[in-house]
Amino acid sequence: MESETGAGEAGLLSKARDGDLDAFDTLVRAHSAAVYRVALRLLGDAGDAEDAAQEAFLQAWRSLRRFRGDSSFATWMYRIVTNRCLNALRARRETAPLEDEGASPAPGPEQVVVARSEFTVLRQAIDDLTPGQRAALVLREFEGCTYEEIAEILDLSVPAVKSRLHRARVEVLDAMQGVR
Amino acid sequence: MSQNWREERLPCGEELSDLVEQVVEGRGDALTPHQQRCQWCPVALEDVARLWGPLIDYRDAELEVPQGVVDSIVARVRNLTSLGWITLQRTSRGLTRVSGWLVAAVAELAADATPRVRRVGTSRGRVADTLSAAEPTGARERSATGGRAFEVGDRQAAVDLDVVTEYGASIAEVSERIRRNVRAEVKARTGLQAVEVNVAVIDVEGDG
Repeated sequence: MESETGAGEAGLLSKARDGDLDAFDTLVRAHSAAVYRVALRLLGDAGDAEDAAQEAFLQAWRSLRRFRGDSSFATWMYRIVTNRCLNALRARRETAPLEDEGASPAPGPEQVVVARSEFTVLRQAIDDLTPGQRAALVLREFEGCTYEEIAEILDLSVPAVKSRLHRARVEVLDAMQGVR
Repeated sequence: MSQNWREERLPCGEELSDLVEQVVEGRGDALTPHQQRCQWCPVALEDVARLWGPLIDYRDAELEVPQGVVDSIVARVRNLTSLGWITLQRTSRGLTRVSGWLVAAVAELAADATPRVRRVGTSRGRVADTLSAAEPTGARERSATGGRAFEVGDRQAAVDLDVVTEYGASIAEVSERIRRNVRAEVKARTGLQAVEVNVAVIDVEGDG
């Protein structure tokens, strides 16, 4: 995504900053798949993900003047959508009864059988991560962001990103140990 | 015998987090001199590679975002960005503007709260969740195209609304009430005068 853009993207950004809707359209089209993907992986619901993507771009449009281009537009969009999703997940957790809170009940025998498939276990392990860990894992393993980019997106230091990623990876390894 | 991934170090003293990172970041085969001699490290590296494999397969079955989703996001964003700005205040020291989508969202909420109005707009999507967070009603279901607001002059806006009313309600009465509510709410929330409020009743709904 970043490779093909570069200079062209800077031009689009400066046009969009001046209110050029077509230029902004082009940026939205180029980045919407990535923004949607992150939202879907964090929120787990296609409708919510589409809403989050829409709101993220709208927020970008509103604050375009404040975007100085210190990071790439892609990283900036990741930052906006990730924060929106983390806030949404936080709000969800506050309103939901504490069912998926850490200590999930021991699986009954029938659940153990159902959960045999590796992908099912993997998906469950990713779902069970804290939102912050999941965000780091999704950005690194699925979106291919660098540690530095993730630090920027999540407002963390690089060592903090590393330790968060390690905890997320350990959870995955732990879960997979049960099926492999 | 299985590895406890929560341990900090292997018996040889190597940090587990370094080994995990080495494999996950694709350098699992590049053994350090220590690892070539160690009896613990190669086993742990192999374990990580084996357990991490499904995630790689899962990732490579990369989720393809349907073109329809991309198109829908682009269209929704375009719809909202094209609402533009409405000038609230013009002084020698600067300009205060209010975004059209903010005014549209205020108008939608006001219309939505009017008795015998079933819905504003048709499709799913939110205009402004900055507002919906503060509103008790279901702003989530509000349409991206249900309301539009445009600048008419300084401090003056025109608002267009698409609504669905209750079957049997007098359309003239309901739309007059919408107009009153929208004017009052837009004035209170933004300071703008909604000089024109155009109501389009796009459908009616009965009970059940």
